[in-house]
Amino acid sequence: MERLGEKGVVWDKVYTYRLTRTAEGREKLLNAVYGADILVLASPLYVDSIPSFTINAMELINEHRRAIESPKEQKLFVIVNCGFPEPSHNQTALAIYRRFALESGIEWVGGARVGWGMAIDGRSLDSVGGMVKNLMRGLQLAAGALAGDIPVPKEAEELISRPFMPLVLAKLMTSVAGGVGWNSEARKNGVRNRMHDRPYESD
Amino acid sequence: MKAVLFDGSKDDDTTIGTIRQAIVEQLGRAGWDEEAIDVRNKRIAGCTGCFGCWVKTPGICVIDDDGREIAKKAAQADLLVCLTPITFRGYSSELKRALDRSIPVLLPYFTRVNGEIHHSMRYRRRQRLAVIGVQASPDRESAQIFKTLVDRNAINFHSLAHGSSIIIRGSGPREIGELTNSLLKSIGVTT
Repeated sequence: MERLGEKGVVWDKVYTYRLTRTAEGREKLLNAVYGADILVLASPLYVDSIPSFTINAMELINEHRRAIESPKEQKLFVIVNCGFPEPSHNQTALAIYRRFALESGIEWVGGARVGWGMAIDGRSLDSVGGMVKNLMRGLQLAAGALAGDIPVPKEAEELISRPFMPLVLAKLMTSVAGGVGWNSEARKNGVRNRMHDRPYESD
Repeated sequence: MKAVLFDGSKDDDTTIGTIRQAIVEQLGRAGWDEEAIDVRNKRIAGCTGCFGCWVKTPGICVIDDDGREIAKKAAQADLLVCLTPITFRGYSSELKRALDRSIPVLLPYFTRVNGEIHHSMRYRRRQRLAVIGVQASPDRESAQIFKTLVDRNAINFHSLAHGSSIIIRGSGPREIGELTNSLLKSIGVTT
């Protein structure tokens, strides 16, 4: 979004998980969405698909647009991010987003799949280093296209979706060391030795 | 054998109601102990992806609402049946809310399935999974995406066997009964 701002696009950010909880929030969400010319939906991957609150936002947006005789022209660009190293986990979610655009009369301008999002861990991309150089180049390209009202080039989608490092290496690192971070978090919470608990075990 | 059915209807959906009745009857005849849950009538907040169920209270969601019961039912079932109106080729937000809150049944640790990275199982019990989507008219592309989503869920939850079916809204009870019976048979639930 900062890249879009640099190109003169006025932008705002709303969180679907907060706004879908209340009637007031849902109204705010719909107003924010309908006031925009470009929608950028960014979400994590939950259980092989889109998080429930984002699907709920999509259902609301779809209903809202279908209730209007001539809904305004809007464009949709989507980024889905998963914790697994393989960006391909996000493919089904992207297909669902694409169908949402079609059924809602919103122009689909592209979508990208990011794998191994946990390697970024909420940091600013500028501080992450060379690992995300393709991602940053892709976002720059996508932002330029969105701001210039031209189609997002396939190259942007491809760059954003490119693994941060060779997949073989990323998968090896995840398999071997992936548990270290979880154990460290659990240790901080005093539950390191309870990680394998089965509270709902039954015969 | 225990079966739990998550009904992801958005409202009183007569087609899903007929499907649900058919499944409950077929499971009953096959000797299954079944329980159906109307997700929309439960107090279930959306999963926020905080990972508290993995690193703060292992196996239990930190949100104290009906979502905990959902995870418990999923962990203790031998068969999980999910019903949903097909929504943009995927699940309704109602069904997805239940599935998102089921992640305490997994461990944060990683394993490989067919060469792909996935989370490991927390419990020894592996479920059979049947998912039925309802849509207005036949649509081959949507059907493929929906099936892929169910296939992916089955990998993610390490299902023992799984299957999916799409039923066209307004189908009659007889047709619905044949489709549900065929689906349950295909995953070894009924004979």
